[in-house]
Amino acid sequence: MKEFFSELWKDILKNKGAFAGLILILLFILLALLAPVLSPYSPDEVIDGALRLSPGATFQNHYFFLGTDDIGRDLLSRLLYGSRVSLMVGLSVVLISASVGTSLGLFAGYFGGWSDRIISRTMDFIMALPSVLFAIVIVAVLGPGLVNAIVAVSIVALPNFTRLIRAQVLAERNKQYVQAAHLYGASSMRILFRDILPNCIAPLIVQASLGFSDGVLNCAALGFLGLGAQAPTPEWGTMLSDARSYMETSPWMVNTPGICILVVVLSFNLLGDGLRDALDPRLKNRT
Amino acid sequence: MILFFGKKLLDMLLTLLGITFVCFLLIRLVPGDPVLLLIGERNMDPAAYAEAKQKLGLDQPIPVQFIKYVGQVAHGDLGTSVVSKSAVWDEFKERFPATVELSLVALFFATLIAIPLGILAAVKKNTFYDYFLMGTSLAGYSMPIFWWGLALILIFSVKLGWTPVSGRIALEYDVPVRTGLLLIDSLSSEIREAEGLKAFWSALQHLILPAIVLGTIPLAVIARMTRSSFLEVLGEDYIRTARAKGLKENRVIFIHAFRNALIPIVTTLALCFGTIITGAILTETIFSWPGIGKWIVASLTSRDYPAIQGGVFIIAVIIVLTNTLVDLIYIVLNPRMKKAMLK
Repeated sequence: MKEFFSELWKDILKNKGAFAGLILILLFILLALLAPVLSPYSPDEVIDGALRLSPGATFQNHYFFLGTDDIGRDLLSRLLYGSRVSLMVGLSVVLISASVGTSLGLFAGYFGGWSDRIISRTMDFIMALPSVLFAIVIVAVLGPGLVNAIVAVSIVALPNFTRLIRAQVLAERNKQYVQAAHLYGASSMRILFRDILPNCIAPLIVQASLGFSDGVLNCAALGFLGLGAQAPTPEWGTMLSDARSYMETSPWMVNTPGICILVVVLSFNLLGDGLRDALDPRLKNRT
Repeated sequence: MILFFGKKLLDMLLTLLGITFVCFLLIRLVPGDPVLLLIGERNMDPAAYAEAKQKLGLDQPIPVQFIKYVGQVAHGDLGTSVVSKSAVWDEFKERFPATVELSLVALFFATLIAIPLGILAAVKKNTFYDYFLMGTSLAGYSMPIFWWGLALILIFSVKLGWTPVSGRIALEYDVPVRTGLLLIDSLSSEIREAEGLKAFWSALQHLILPAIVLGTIPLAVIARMTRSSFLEVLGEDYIRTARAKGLKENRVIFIHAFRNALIPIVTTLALCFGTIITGAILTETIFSWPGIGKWIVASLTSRDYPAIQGGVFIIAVIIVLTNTLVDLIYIVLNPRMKKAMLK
């Protein structure tokens, strides 16, 4: 395992895109963790009279690096706290969809038969609906809100993990080490989680990185449609949607959260993409 | 072969049944009384309530309700919108052409740009062009299009005043509906006699920004797919042979490689459909484009559950049908797969 990660690290260093992605991700995590220290104001603090000030404006001894919004809150502080929301959203979506999706994929691939048929069919079905539409259906039932949006986006992301792991298990199932474990009398659970799963780690890491970016993007889209986080949560998609009416006079209110979303999504895609190139043995030796 | 087609069709029917079931459940899972949700009232007097309940069949056991629902759907009855009080299917039909027009133009624009760029990146592999193009396309792929749309409106509509901000055509043009696609309808002879090409131009101006926004992610996906597909094909022996014969590089790329590289690209194109619908929901909301995406979001806001139920159902059916069709065409087109199937 240690060898695998040192190899992985070397691959990341070699791939410029993946490396850039990793740096941006670390920066993003750092900003999210340090938000309370770095923010000049609290995200909900309203400074009386400081309405829609442009970036770099000063107002009664207050300085606003990225300007203020329509009710006089400091945008920089809101964006910094927004990075916490996005980090939380991305992590939750990946954790939920990866753990549930992987387990389902392991069962479907290993046991085959009916469990495989039911699981695969369900996944096909989830994939038949466009992600945001499916999330809309779920949010329509559960009601709008950040937690429900996370649940919806996680369900939408399930098939990616399930299909990936299922295919991987099908390839591993008949290998000698699995048969040897069988002969040793190891239980199915032990074989699945201790023997087969570690061999699926590489594609799982790639999918987790891409899943993070999808999760952040989809949750922000739901926020933009008014179905995700609700005011006053400083969620980037929701902030963008609230700022629409002031777009012409105060474009920074729309542009700053938009750029934040783009950079975070892009950095996870860069990392995931670079890792896929590095870890895919088919691509690795291609000239 | 027939067996395979049969299996595919059976798969499709099962998925369609699943979709019907989810849409059926939708209205029953939403918090609140389904009778009131379907009628769209908050309070009803008991007699009217009982009558409505019976009329909607909600007094019967759930399995019976489901079978009835399947029957209704099969006859094209998707319920009645609680907001407009007209049939959901009619509401859908009215708006669908707008989405089709937007999607087609977006895909056309995306393909037209993406394929040459993808080929360029593949041919110039590992050069500045390649890195630049692939970097840009990854950024396009990561684009929150709801911001992208607003940013483009800010630049091209607000600052430069080149394009209108919303809608499909300027209000002064009254184009009679023939195909529902304004680019075609505005070219009909009567309109041309009265207005010349002004109506067409107006429709095109309204369409440009939304099409660019909606086409952005497909453009990125197709460019990346074209690149990797070309790289794969360009490594094949027959390409080396063609080059060894002394053929011009252009001929090798555009005649020999292109055909084979095209197969995965066409598949990607067809599978972009889901992305397009997701994108249409956001794009139409931004540009007030009167299509099904905007309609579904508006239905959600006004808690028009019959409309959501029907809209989701139709979109899902369209997607499942296209995907199955793509699968089948793919098999017919690809002799290698056909052979494997016949074995």
